[in-house]
Amino acid sequence: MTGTTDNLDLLRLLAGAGLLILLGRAATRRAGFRIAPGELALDGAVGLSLAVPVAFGCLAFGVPLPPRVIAGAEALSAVLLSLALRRRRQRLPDESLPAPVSEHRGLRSLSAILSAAAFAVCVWKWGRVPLWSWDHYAIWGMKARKLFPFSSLDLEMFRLPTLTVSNPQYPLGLPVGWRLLTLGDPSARAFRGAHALFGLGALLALRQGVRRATGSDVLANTLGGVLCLSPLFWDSEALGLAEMPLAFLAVAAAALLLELRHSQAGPAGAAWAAGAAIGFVSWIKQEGVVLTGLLLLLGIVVVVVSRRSPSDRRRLVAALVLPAVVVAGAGWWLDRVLLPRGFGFFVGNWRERGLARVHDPLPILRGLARELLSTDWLGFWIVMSIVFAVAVFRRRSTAVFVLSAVAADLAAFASVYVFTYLDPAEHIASSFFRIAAATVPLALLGGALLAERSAPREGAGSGGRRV
Amino acid sequence: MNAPHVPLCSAPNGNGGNLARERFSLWLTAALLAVVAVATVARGVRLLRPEVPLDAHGERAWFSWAMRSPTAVPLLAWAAGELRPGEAVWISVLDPDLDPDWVRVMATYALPRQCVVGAGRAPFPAHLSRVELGPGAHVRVVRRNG
Repeated sequence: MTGTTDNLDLLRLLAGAGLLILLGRAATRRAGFRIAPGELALDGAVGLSLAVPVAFGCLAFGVPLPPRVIAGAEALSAVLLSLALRRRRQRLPDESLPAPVSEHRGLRSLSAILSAAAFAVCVWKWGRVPLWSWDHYAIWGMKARKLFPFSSLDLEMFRLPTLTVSNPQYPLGLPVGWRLLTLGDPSARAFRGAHALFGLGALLALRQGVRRATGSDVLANTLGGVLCLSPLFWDSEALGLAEMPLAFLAVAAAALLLELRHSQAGPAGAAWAAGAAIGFVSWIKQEGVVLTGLLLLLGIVVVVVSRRSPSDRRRLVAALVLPAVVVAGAGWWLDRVLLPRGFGFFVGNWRERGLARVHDPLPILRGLARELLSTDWLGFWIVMSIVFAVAVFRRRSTAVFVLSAVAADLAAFASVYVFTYLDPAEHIASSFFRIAAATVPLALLGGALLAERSAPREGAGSGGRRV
Repeated sequence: MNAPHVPLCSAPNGNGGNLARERFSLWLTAALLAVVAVATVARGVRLLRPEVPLDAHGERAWFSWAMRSPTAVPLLAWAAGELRPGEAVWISVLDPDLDPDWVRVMATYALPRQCVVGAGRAPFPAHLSRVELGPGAHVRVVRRNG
């Protein structure tokens, strides 16, 4: 590949990301042109959550989407949405956020530099290692390159017996998302660039969520650095796979929920955006379906326990649930109608297998523990278990809710190993580590909520603790 | 100079407890930052080596299994430029070190606009265009125009 082509790939990637951010910004009804990196990440998640379902719908109904049409449609949609919603535009009122913690400027700068350095080291590694994951070549990357000949969707290819290893029943949100991001056929370099963008998005969304909740830049930067140390970032197996996009969208959806929680104005726009992002998580991969359910439950709980009037709560729950159900339901329906049925892990007599394994759960539990206690985690899950216990003990309800969602997600997949037709030990060894890695940003955000500070109430001092 | 007295448990008005908690949080954050700094420097230094050390969890478990030939995908991608979009292709795996099933998956990826019918040791079927992968990173495209 020539250098010029490489640069063009990166330029197209930046253009694609910029258009999705513009679309997301228009839809979230943020006012003004202040460029805050965390907000851009959340806008990008919302833009992707809106653009991919629409693009996939068009492709499914036979509308070809060449790169120029994609770019034009995204730009036009952003302009039209901006015009349509201009009167409802709002910025989160600063007085509704927790007051910033007074922090030493040097420590703040140091934490920012270290966080950036940790991310830069990961980008350096991603740039030097080849794309090598089997699942990239056999499933994710292959679909992104092959499913759209002449800019149209070609699902006929799944009839080829040679493609039985490609898991044709997997959701197609990510291959479509890669095409929107890279504005065309993604090359190896574009896949790496998209991975870096998703990683940056996860880092910034986590940072935004932590800052919103705690008012601490140092903590936000530090946890961003910890995220970069995690296997989600450091293990190059994730290059070109769905874990990083899933992690980004999940933490962005949770951060959008926190914006909703901290806004006293009760903006339905923030609820719609969070709902769309939550629904879209299920488009990325099958694990996302569980995360969508858990995040939606989390969102409902966050709204219901907030100090709002009952009518406000009802309105916000509706504004959150409706887009989530529509986006997730549309994905589920399109997948059911369009994609061939593959065979899942429950094939055969899963009840009998499950019963036998439930009676002797030690091998499965040992396998799960081996993966979570691996030295690659640098003790992450041990620390998170302690944080969870502290959150329960100190009755930090939001932290408990978020960490419970992470625990429930891991438990849901642990239960798959009870019924799987594969050898459970091999199945755990081949998948559980990656599944756990995708929940790291969400777990870090949940842990940070232990230090959550409430917004100042009218006539009260700043920085009270929320219980 | 005497250090200010910081009570470790909550005072009746809560201020002492808050101060102790904030100090604890600060130390905890500083410790985490130190971990980030040390690990980042260590990893950065290791990346200075000519060969990237691939010893993370997935890399240890799957890299050598998944990346059996670093040259196969670029060779197949080159061959894609020699073939027409939509052309049916057979991949002849003449290199004994390559597994035909593995090559077939890589070919499906590297030739996105062609129809990869299959991959095997023999040059069969003869009526299809074929890409031959030989030993020593040798690649040849044999076209069938009929």
